Amino acid sequence: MAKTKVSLTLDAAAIEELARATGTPSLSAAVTSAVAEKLERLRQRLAIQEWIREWEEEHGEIPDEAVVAAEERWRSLGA
Amino acid sequence: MAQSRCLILDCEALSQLATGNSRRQAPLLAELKALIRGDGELATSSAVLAELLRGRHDAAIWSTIKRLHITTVPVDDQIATQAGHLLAKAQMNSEHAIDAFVVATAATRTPALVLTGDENDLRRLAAACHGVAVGVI
Repeated sequence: MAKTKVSLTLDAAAIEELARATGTPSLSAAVTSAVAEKLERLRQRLAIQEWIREWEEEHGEIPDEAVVAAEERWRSLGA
Repeated sequence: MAQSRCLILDCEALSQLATGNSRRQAPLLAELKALIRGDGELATSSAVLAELLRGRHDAAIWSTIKRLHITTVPVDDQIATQAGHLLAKAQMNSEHAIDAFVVATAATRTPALVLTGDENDLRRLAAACHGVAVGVI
């Protein structure tokens, strides 16, 4: 995989925690892994949004009450 | 600050997402909409695939996993160990191993909601897991 050198200004505590949590001495590897994870999450989010849009176009919109009820459950879990 | 959330699909939930009709999929859609309103991840356990893939619907299931970028979390030593402990606590036997893998996977990604068609067994297993809830589709 092609690599590029970049200059970043990052939160010191977050970087320290990331290095500790990943257990890697290589800051580049830890940051690359975190960026890859974030990218995959964004891809997933866009894919789900697109699937919902197509589904609602075909079958009608999901009532907001059902989504609000689902949201409430997440709030009770602290999310 | 709210924590990142994880929605875990069991066999029934993944099956409905891949091959269900619109009436059965509607509750899943509501859950997905709520998931992406926060910083959410959609995932399942690789153990679910062992239960679900029987040849007939494999293409539809893999297509859904790929299209929605569903994370398939492997059963590693940590998850396997926790699954065993959950079965013991719930006084359940290894017939429920896949359910236990699903709940143990959720426990590594809290706060997590397991979506299922079989709430009783999963609720028994999740009772010992802080930050894991079970929802029925």
